[in-house]
Amino acid sequence: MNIELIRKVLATLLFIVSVVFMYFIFKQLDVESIKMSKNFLFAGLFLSLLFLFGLVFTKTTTTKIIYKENKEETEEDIKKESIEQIKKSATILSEKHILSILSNIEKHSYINKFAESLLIKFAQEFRVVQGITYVKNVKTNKFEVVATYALYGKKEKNIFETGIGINGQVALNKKIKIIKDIPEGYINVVSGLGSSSLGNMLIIPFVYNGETVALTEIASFEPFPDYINEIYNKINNKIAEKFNKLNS
Amino acid sequence: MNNIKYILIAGSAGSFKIITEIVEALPKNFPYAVILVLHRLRHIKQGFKEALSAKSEMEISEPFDKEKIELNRIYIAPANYHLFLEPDSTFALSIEEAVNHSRPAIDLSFSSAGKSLKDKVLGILLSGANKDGAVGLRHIKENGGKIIIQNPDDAVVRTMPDAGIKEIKPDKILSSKEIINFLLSLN
Repeated sequence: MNIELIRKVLATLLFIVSVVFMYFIFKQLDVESIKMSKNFLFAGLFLSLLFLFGLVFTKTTTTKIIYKENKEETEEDIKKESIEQIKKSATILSEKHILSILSNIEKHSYINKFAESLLIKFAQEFRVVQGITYVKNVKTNKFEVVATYALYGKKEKNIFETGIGINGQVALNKKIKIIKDIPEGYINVVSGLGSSSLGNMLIIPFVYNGETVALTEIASFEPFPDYINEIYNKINNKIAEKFNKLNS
Repeated sequence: MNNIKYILIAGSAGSFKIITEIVEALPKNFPYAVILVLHRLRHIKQGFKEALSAKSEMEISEPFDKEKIELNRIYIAPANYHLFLEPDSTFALSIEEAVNHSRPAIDLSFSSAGKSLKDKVLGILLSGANKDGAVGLRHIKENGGKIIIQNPDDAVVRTMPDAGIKEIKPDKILSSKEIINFLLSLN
């Protein structure tokens, strides 16, 4: 609706009302009494106020309506802008993580050094507290530890087979698994990462030619980003290919 | 002191001021790896390194697991990890249980440094409110390294220096100013 039109109509109506009202007052008074009468002053003042009130009222109403419309538009715009910004930031961050993780992977000739450097990259990018990387032994078909992060002094080998245990399930399903809000002691049961309660765990299968060739489990006190799947989809091929090459 | 390459400086309550003064005083070309092992609040992971970096001419970082220790650099033990020094001059991290109610535990860093890097290690124990670090000092000394303890009378909290002196005779007992002057004299 045209707000300006409503304002003009209201102002005109109030003006007409005030003119009509003034006509009736003049009709009842002669010139002398007008000069003398205080009533005339009061009537004039009242009519002026009425006229002004009409203008102010319509102006205020209009401002309010316009402001409300602008406000609604602005909030909606801000929401849209925020979502766009978040998407843009996520993409930038995602690209940053991917670049960092994939940098220098070609320089490694030994599988354990490659796996170690990869864990350090994860630690740098996702504030990882602990991590283990397993590679599938081509002779036994079992996954064996090739690198650890912040597991000083823990010498036990955590070997697993495809389909057995949570790591085995991830290797079988070939999809990353995020476990949030891990209760104390749970990690000790399900993984090789030790006894501390770390909050969040991410298990990443590296899949080459349809087969999981390596698997990394990392734990963090902080939740992993929502766009972790996007990152995984972009790093899996190169990392899995490298693991496969170094393992053969 | 000729063989020294790695200087471990550790402290707890009351040590932040002297740590800041040391970091501020060390010149850009200080040819040692300086490793700070300080009891820190577990939930505060950021800010400490930045605060010290603002004061220092040397590069400061928190090491990652298996990172090579480089000279002419300051390292800070990351919050909530135990920090070990390995024979191949690398760091190792662990989140095993707290020792002396602390993680990082000074004893673990001192002991691993002493056993791994022998006479290349200088351990300095500052002000603190518990006994962490005392046993580690002994391991440094027994493996050929040198040890300095802040004079308890000069320390804000004397429990830690007192425990160190009780555990093993240090090579030097120095005030905070004397510790800074001694480090500068090594350059």
